[in-house]
Amino acid sequence: MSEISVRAFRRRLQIVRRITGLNLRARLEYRTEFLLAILNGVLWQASVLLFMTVLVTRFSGLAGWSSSEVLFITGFRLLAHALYVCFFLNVTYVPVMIREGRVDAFLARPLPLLTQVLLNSFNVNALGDLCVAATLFGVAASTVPLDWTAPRVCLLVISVAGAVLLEAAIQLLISSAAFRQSETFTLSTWIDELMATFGNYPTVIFPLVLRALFLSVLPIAFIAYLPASVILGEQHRSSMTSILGYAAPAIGLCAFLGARLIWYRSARAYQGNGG
Amino acid sequence: MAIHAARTRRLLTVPALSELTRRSGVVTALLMAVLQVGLVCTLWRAVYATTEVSAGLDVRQAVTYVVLALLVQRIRWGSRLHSRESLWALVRDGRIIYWFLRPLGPRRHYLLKSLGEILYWGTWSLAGYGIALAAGLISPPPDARVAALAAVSLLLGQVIAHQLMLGIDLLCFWTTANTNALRVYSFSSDLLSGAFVPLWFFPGWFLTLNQWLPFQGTINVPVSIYVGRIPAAEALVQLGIQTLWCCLLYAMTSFLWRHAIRRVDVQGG
Repeated sequence: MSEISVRAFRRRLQIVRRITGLNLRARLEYRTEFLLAILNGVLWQASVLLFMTVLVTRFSGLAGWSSSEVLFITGFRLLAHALYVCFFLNVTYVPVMIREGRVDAFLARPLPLLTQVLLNSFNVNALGDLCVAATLFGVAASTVPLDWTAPRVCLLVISVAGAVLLEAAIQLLISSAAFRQSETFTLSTWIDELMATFGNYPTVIFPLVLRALFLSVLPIAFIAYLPASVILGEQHRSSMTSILGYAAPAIGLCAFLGARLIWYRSARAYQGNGG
Repeated sequence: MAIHAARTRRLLTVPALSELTRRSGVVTALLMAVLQVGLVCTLWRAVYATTEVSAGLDVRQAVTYVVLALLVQRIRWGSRLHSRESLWALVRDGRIIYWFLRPLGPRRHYLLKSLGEILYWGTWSLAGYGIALAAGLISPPPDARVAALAAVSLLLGQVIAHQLMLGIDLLCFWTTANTNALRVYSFSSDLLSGAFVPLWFFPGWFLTLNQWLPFQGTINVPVSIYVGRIPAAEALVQLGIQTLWCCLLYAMTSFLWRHAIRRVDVQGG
């Protein structure tokens, strides 16, 4: 890496840090709203957890998966979702930014458009999300009979990163339609709820049509179920599950890069908000 | 009188017309509803694969419950959308002042807007109910008496939901920013009303605590009457409790409106 690009990267990082600090201070101006935002994050994650807890205590496992294994999938997904909310949630607010004319202002600035969208505000609810997710994942990881060796921990980290990027890719694709004057906020909220409701289960419990859906058009299975299958070990792996599970992080990365490309192409077609 | 009725009719149609101007939004809403119903049916059938009865519900009752809960929740879908005409957006922009300058009072305006949303989204839910019934996804009510009791309970539940939403919306006259209060309310009401998962699956202490709150009256009570989890004999008691909540919440929102009007604070220029 040349010295100029290292300097440019450091400068960019400094700008990100300063903008994030400013956003956090801006959110702290409304103290009650700040605390409610954290509570919002906690409640969102806790509602998913509560649903799972009710299911695993009332019903004896799902399709051969034990309660602790199902909770592991849930914990994994919540952790990935919390990190997605922290870094990428602002993408879903692109329609609001367009309506308020902020995107027009972003286009006049010397920072990449996506960077400015992601830095537009600090998502305080991510703090609540992360607390619950980290707690749940810690509990779930301790109840499953696994040896946390270095390779397994590395696989976990890479899989979580892939899951974050895949979730971001899905929302990037949806929000790219906003540049063509479509209202996408409802759809992105619904997809978010869908992933929260159905992404916590082994995909095998669904009929073939839905399994195909969750492995293709709406790749929920790659976010938690497949990586978790690989991490949990032999008993739930078929050769196909292993291949897809190990490939999930790479699929997440490729999906994100592809979605980013489409997002910027759509942004080039943006004709402004008028007025 | 005729002008008044015409004005009311026009205002009732505004939410529906706003939604229908975006055809992509209509198609999206339809696809979302169909997919969601299909997914919850599949999920709960899979969950009940090795269980006959749990918490007093068999698989047929449980599937009927979750589908109906979803359809009832969708009746209030309009109030959850990120709208430029929501109270908090109007307070933030300063356009709230027009509500107090018009010949129609702000309280009546809010009621008609809310009714319009309920009529529009309620029509979709009714259509969804019909389709789910025809497709055999859900069971019909056991008899006409249960159907009538469930319908009355649903109506009372919608009154409770309207008053609760109004109470949260009115907070923006004091807090200015109430986006997260709205979200916290949405999650809490979904959890405590049985929209996430039938309340019958929760432990006894949770159900006892929930008895003292109005949320279960919005979804759990009407749907439980419909599927037979609340027997018809007990249903009248539940209707009485719902009516009581309607009165209490009406008194609360009346109090809040009177005080909100005195502190209209225009944020915009």
